[in-house]
Amino acid sequence: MRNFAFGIIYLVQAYLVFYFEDAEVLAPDRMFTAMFTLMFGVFAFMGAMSTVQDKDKAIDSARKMFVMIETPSPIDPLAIE
Amino acid sequence: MGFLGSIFVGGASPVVGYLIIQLMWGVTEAQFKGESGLDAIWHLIVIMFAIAVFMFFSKAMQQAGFALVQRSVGYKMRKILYESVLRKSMAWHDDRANSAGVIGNVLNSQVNSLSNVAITVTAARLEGFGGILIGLIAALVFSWPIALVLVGIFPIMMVSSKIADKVKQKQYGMLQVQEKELKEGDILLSDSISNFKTVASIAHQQILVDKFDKICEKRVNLEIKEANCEGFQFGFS
Repeated sequence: MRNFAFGIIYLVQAYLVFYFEDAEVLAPDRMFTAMFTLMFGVFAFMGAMSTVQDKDKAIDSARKMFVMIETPSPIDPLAIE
Repeated sequence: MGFLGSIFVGGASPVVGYLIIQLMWGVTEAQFKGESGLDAIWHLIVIMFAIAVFMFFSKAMQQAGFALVQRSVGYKMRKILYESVLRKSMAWHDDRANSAGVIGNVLNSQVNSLSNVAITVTAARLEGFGGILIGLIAALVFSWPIALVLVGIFPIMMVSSKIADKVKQKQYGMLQVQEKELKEGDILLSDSISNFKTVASIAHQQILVDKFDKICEKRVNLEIKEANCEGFQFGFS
Protein backbone atom coordinates (compact mmCIF):
# COMPACT_ATOMS: atom_id res chain seq x y z
CA MET A 1 0.00 0.00 0.00
CA ARG A 2 2.84 2.38 0.88
CA ASN A 3 4.59 1.58 -2.40
CA PHE A 4 1.35 2.32 -4.22
CA ALA A 5 1.35 5.77 -2.56
CA PHE A 6 4.92 6.36 -3.71
CA GLY A 7 3.89 5.42 -7.26
CA ILE A 8 1.17 8.08 -7.19
CA ILE A 9 3.63 10.71 -5.94
CA TYR A 10 6.05 10.06 -8.81
CA LEU A 11 3.23 9.99 -11.36
CA VAL A 12 1.87 13.37 -10.23
CA GLN A 13 5.40 14.73 -10.15
CA ALA A 14 5.92 13.67 -13.76
CA TYR A 15 2.65 15.28 -14.84
CA LEU A 16 3.49 18.52 -13.02
CA VAL A 17 6.90 18.75 -14.69
CA PHE A 18 5.34 17.95 -18.07
CA TYR A 19 2.66 20.65 -17.86
CA PHE A 20 4.60 23.35 -15.95
CA GLU A 21 8.09 22.88 -17.33
CA ASP A 22 9.38 26.36 -16.45
CA ALA A 23 8.00 26.66 -12.93
CA GLU A 24 10.84 27.33 -10.49
CA VAL A 25 9.15 25.44 -7.63
CA LEU A 26 9.14 22.37 -9.87
CA ALA A 27 12.91 22.38 -10.46
CA PRO A 28 14.21 18.83 -9.81
CA ASP A 29 16.46 19.77 -6.86
CA ARG A 30 13.70 21.71 -5.10
CA MET A 31 11.09 19.02 -5.74
CA PHE A 32 13.24 16.21 -4.39
CA THR A 33 14.39 18.28 -1.42
CA ALA A 34 10.74 18.97 -0.53
CA MET A 35 9.89 15.31 -0.98
CA PHE A 36 12.77 14.01 1.11
CA THR A 37 12.31 16.47 3.99
CA LEU A 38 8.61 15.70 4.31
CA MET A 39 9.05 11.96 3.80
CA PHE A 40 11.73 11.81 6.48
CA GLY A 41 9.40 13.71 8.79
CA VAL A 42 6.68 11.16 8.07
CA PHE A 43 9.13 8.30 8.63
CA ALA A 44 10.07 9.83 11.98
CA PHE A 45 6.35 9.99 12.85
CA MET A 46 5.71 6.38 11.78
CA GLY A 47 8.85 5.14 13.51
CA ALA A 48 7.92 6.90 16.73
CA MET A 49 4.35 5.60 16.62
CA SER A 50 5.49 2.02 16.02
CA THR A 51 7.31 2.11 19.36
CA VAL A 52 4.08 2.92 21.19
CA GLN A 53 2.86 -0.11 23.05
CA ASP A 54 -0.66 -1.41 22.84
CA LYS A 55 -3.01 1.19 24.34
CA ASP A 56 -5.85 -1.34 24.75
CA LYS A 57 -3.57 -3.61 26.73
CA ALA A 58 -2.65 -0.73 29.03
CA ILE A 59 -6.34 0.14 29.56
CA ASP A 60 -6.94 -3.50 30.47
CA SER A 61 -4.04 -3.40 32.92
CA ALA A 62 -5.37 -0.18 34.46
CA ARG A 63 -8.83 -1.71 34.83
CA LYS A 64 -7.40 -4.76 36.62
CA MET A 65 -5.36 -2.55 38.95
CA PHE A 66 -8.23 -0.24 39.82
CA VAL A 67 -10.57 -3.16 40.43
CA MET A 68 -7.98 -4.48 42.86
CA ILE A 69 -7.47 -1.10 44.54
CA GLU A 70 -11.09 -0.03 44.71
CA THR A 71 -12.75 -3.30 45.72
CA PRO A 72 -13.94 -2.51 49.27
CA SER A 73 -12.87 -4.88 52.00
CA PRO A 74 -15.25 -5.50 54.95
CA ILE A 75 -12.26 -5.89 57.24
CA ASP A 76 -9.06 -3.84 57.07
CA PRO A 77 -6.28 -6.00 58.58
CA LEU A 78 -3.94 -3.01 58.85
CA ALA A 79 -6.41 -0.74 60.66
CA ILE A 80 -5.25 0.25 64.16
CA GLU A 81 -8.71 0.37 65.77
CA MET B 1 14.30 17.06 29.39
CA GLY B 2 12.34 14.20 27.82
CA PHE B 3 10.06 16.60 25.94
CA LEU B 4 12.99 18.57 24.54
CA GLY B 5 14.82 15.38 23.55
CA SER B 6 11.71 14.13 21.70
CA ILE B 7 11.30 17.37 19.76
CA PHE B 8 15.00 17.40 18.83
CA VAL B 9 14.96 13.76 17.65
CA GLY B 10 11.81 14.30 15.58
CA GLY B 11 13.04 17.61 14.17
CA ALA B 12 16.41 16.19 13.13
CA SER B 13 14.85 13.64 10.75
CA PRO B 14 13.74 16.12 8.04
CA VAL B 15 17.18 17.73 8.26
CA VAL B 16 18.72 14.32 7.55
CA GLY B 17 16.37 13.98 4.58
CA TYR B 18 17.49 17.39 3.32
CA LEU B 19 21.16 16.45 3.69
CA ILE B 20 20.72 13.11 1.91
CA ILE B 21 19.19 14.75 -1.16
CA GLN B 22 21.90 17.44 -1.10
CA LEU B 23 24.58 14.72 -0.95
CA MET B 24 23.07 12.84 -3.89
CA TRP B 25 22.58 16.02 -5.86
CA GLY B 26 26.11 17.27 -5.07
CA VAL B 27 27.79 14.05 -6.22
CA THR B 28 25.71 13.84 -9.40
CA GLU B 29 26.38 17.48 -10.29
CA ALA B 30 30.13 17.16 -9.61
CA GLN B 31 30.39 14.01 -11.73
CA PHE B 32 28.46 15.70 -14.50
CA LYS B 33 30.93 18.60 -14.46
CA GLY B 34 33.90 16.22 -14.27
CA GLU B 35 34.88 17.40 -10.78
CA SER B 36 35.60 15.46 -7.58
CA GLY B 37 32.38 14.35 -5.89
CA LEU B 38 34.06 14.23 -2.48
CA ASP B 39 35.19 17.85 -2.69
CA ALA B 40 31.63 18.89 -3.44
CA ILE B 41 30.06 17.08 -0.49
CA TRP B 42 32.66 16.77 2.29
CA HIS B 43 31.14 19.63 4.29
CA LEU B 44 27.75 17.89 4.11
CA ILE B 45 29.33 14.68 5.40
CA VAL B 46 30.73 16.59 8.39
CA ILE B 47 27.26 18.04 9.06
CA MET B 48 25.77 14.52 8.84
CA PHE B 49 28.24 13.29 11.47
CA ALA B 50 27.43 16.31 13.66
CA ILE B 51 23.70 15.53 13.36
CA ALA B 52 24.35 11.88 14.25
CA VAL B 53 26.12 13.02 17.45
CA PHE B 54 23.34 15.52 18.17
CA MET B 55 20.68 12.82 17.69
CA PHE B 56 22.60 10.48 19.98
CA PHE B 57 22.53 13.02 22.80
CA SER B 58 18.92 14.03 22.09
CA LYS B 59 17.74 10.41 22.13
CA ALA B 60 19.70 9.75 25.32
CA MET B 61 18.16 12.86 26.89
CA GLN B 62 14.67 11.76 25.80
CA GLN B 63 15.04 8.22 27.13
CA ALA B 64 16.68 9.28 30.40
CA GLY B 65 14.06 11.98 31.03
CA PHE B 66 11.09 9.69 30.44
CA ALA B 67 12.70 6.74 32.25
CA LEU B 68 12.90 8.87 35.41
CA VAL B 69 9.21 9.74 35.20
CA GLN B 70 8.29 6.14 34.38
CA ARG B 71 10.25 4.82 37.34
CA SER B 72 8.56 7.23 39.70
CA VAL B 73 5.06 6.44 38.31
CA GLY B 74 5.72 2.67 38.51
CA TYR B 75 6.99 2.97 42.08
CA LYS B 76 3.95 4.95 43.26
CA MET B 77 1.51 2.58 41.52
CA ARG B 78 3.15 -0.51 43.00
CA LYS B 79 3.13 1.06 46.46
CA ILE B 80 -0.60 1.89 46.31
CA LEU B 81 -1.46 -1.52 44.85
CA TYR B 82 0.58 -3.46 47.41
CA GLU B 83 -0.91 -1.54 50.30
CA SER B 84 -4.42 -2.14 48.98
CA VAL B 85 -3.70 -5.90 48.65
CA LEU B 86 -2.50 -5.99 52.26
CA ARG B 87 -5.68 -4.24 53.40
CA LYS B 88 -7.96 -6.89 51.88
CA SER B 89 -9.81 -9.41 54.02
CA MET B 90 -8.97 -13.14 54.09
CA ALA B 91 -12.08 -13.91 52.00
CA TRP B 92 -10.66 -11.80 49.17
CA HIS B 93 -7.35 -13.66 49.33
CA ASP B 94 -9.18 -17.02 49.32
CA ASP B 95 -10.65 -16.24 45.88
CA ARG B 96 -8.68 -18.14 43.22
CA ALA B 97 -8.70 -15.07 40.96
CA ASN B 98 -6.66 -13.27 43.63
CA SER B 99 -4.02 -15.96 44.11
CA ALA B 100 -0.39 -15.06 44.77
CA GLY B 101 0.57 -15.68 41.12
CA VAL B 102 -2.12 -13.33 39.79
CA ILE B 103 -1.26 -10.57 42.28
CA GLY B 104 2.43 -10.97 41.44
CA ASN B 105 1.65 -10.67 37.75
CA VAL B 106 -0.38 -7.48 38.30
CA LEU B 107 2.33 -5.96 40.49
CA ASN B 108 5.05 -6.72 37.95
CA SER B 109 4.01 -6.86 34.34
CA GLN B 110 0.67 -5.01 34.42
CA VAL B 111 2.10 -2.00 36.29
CA ASN B 112 5.04 -2.02 33.88
CA SER B 113 2.81 -2.15 30.83
CA LEU B 114 0.60 0.71 32.06
CA SER B 115 3.44 3.06 33.04
CA ASN B 116 5.28 2.23 29.78
CA VAL B 117 2.29 3.20 27.66
CA ALA B 118 1.58 6.34 29.68
CA ILE B 119 5.11 7.58 29.04
CA THR B 120 5.96 6.24 25.57
CA VAL B 121 2.78 7.62 24.00
CA THR B 122 3.76 11.17 25.00
CA ALA B 123 7.36 10.69 23.82
CA ALA B 124 6.29 9.18 20.50
CA ARG B 125 3.68 11.85 19.79
CA LEU B 126 6.12 14.65 20.44
CA GLU B 127 8.81 13.01 18.33
CA GLY B 128 6.42 12.19 15.49
CA PHE B 129 4.63 15.54 15.35
CA GLY B 130 7.94 17.42 15.66
CA GLY B 131 9.23 15.54 12.60
CA ILE B 132 6.08 16.08 10.54
CA LEU B 133 5.80 19.78 11.41
CA ILE B 134 9.40 20.64 10.52
CA GLY B 135 9.25 18.42 7.42
CA LEU B 136 6.05 20.09 6.24
CA ILE B 137 7.37 23.62 6.75
CA ALA B 138 10.59 22.76 4.86
CA ALA B 139 8.66 21.06 2.04
CA LEU B 140 6.33 24.06 1.64
CA VAL B 141 9.34 26.39 1.46
CA PHE B 142 11.20 24.31 -1.14
CA SER B 143 8.32 23.24 -3.39
CA TRP B 144 4.76 23.85 -2.29
CA PRO B 145 3.09 21.85 -5.12
CA ILE B 146 4.99 18.70 -4.14
CA ALA B 147 4.26 19.35 -0.46
CA LEU B 148 0.55 19.52 -1.32
CA VAL B 149 0.77 16.30 -3.37
CA LEU B 150 2.41 14.57 -0.40
CA VAL B 151 -0.25 15.89 1.96
CA GLY B 152 -2.87 14.59 -0.49
CA ILE B 153 -1.26 11.14 -0.43
CA PHE B 154 -1.45 10.90 3.36
CA PRO B 155 -5.05 9.55 3.33
CA ILE B 156 -3.84 6.50 1.35
CA MET B 157 -1.12 5.94 3.91
CA MET B 158 -3.67 6.44 6.69
CA VAL B 159 -5.98 3.85 5.09
CA SER B 160 -3.04 1.45 5.00
CA SER B 161 -2.26 2.05 8.66
CA LYS B 162 -5.98 1.77 9.59
CA ILE B 163 -6.20 -1.63 7.91
CA ALA B 164 -3.05 -2.68 9.72
CA ASP B 165 -4.65 -1.47 12.96
CA LYS B 166 -7.77 -3.56 12.32
CA VAL B 167 -5.58 -6.63 11.88
CA LYS B 168 -3.84 -5.66 15.09
CA GLN B 169 -7.16 -5.36 16.92
CA LYS B 170 -8.07 -8.84 15.74
CA GLN B 171 -4.71 -9.91 17.05
CA TYR B 172 -5.49 -8.15 20.32
CA GLY B 173 -8.69 -10.20 20.62
CA MET B 174 -6.49 -13.27 20.40
CA LEU B 175 -4.07 -11.81 22.94
CA GLN B 176 -6.92 -11.35 25.40
CA VAL B 177 -7.87 -15.01 25.00
CA GLN B 178 -4.19 -15.85 25.44
CA GLU B 179 -4.02 -13.79 28.59
CA LYS B 180 -7.05 -15.64 29.94
CA GLU B 181 -5.24 -18.91 29.26
CA LEU B 182 -2.11 -17.51 30.87
CA LYS B 183 -4.12 -16.50 33.94
CA GLU B 184 -5.65 -19.98 34.12
CA GLY B 185 -2.14 -21.44 33.93
CA ASP B 186 -0.93 -19.01 36.62
CA ILE B 187 -3.77 -19.96 38.97
CA LEU B 188 -3.17 -23.68 38.40
CA LEU B 189 0.57 -23.29 38.99
CA SER B 190 0.38 -21.16 42.11
CA ASP B 191 -2.41 -23.32 43.59
CA SER B 192 -0.59 -26.57 42.99
CA ILE B 193 2.77 -25.28 44.23
CA SER B 194 1.44 -23.62 47.38
CA ASN B 195 -0.59 -26.77 48.16
CA PHE B 196 2.03 -29.17 46.91
CA LYS B 197 1.89 -31.49 49.93
CA THR B 198 -1.80 -32.11 49.29
CA VAL B 199 -1.16 -32.69 45.58
CA ALA B 200 1.66 -35.14 46.33
CA SER B 201 -0.27 -36.96 49.07
CA ILE B 202 -3.03 -37.94 46.65
CA ALA B 203 -0.53 -38.51 43.77
CA HIS B 204 -2.18 -35.94 41.49
CA GLN B 205 0.99 -34.64 39.87
CA GLN B 206 0.38 -36.26 36.47
CA ILE B 207 -3.19 -34.95 36.29
CA LEU B 208 -1.94 -31.42 36.91
CA VAL B 209 0.87 -31.77 34.36
CA ASP B 210 -1.67 -32.95 31.76
CA LYS B 211 -4.00 -30.06 32.57
CA PHE B 212 -1.16 -27.55 32.30
CA ASP B 213 -0.11 -29.16 29.03
CA LYS B 214 -3.58 -28.61 27.57
CA ILE B 215 -3.51 -24.95 28.58
CA CYS B 216 -0.09 -24.51 26.94
CA GLU B 217 -1.25 -26.28 23.79
CA LYS B 218 -4.18 -23.87 23.42
CA ARG B 219 -1.74 -20.98 23.72
CA VAL B 220 0.56 -22.40 21.06
CA ASN B 221 -2.34 -22.73 18.60
CA LEU B 222 -3.36 -19.13 19.26
CA GLU B 223 0.22 -17.97 18.81
CA ILE B 224 0.36 -19.63 15.39
CA LYS B 225 -2.81 -17.76 14.36
CA GLU B 226 -1.33 -14.56 15.71
CA ALA B 227 1.88 -15.05 13.70
CA ASN B 228 -0.19 -15.47 10.51
CA CYS B 229 -2.04 -12.24 11.27
CA GLU B 230 1.24 -10.43 11.81
CA GLY B 231 2.54 -11.67 8.46
CA PHE B 232 -0.53 -10.34 6.70
CA GLN B 233 -0.23 -7.03 8.50
CA PHE B 234 3.41 -6.56 7.49
CA GLY B 235 2.70 -7.54 3.90
CA PHE B 236 -0.16 -5.11 3.52
CA SER B 237 1.27 -2.03 5.15
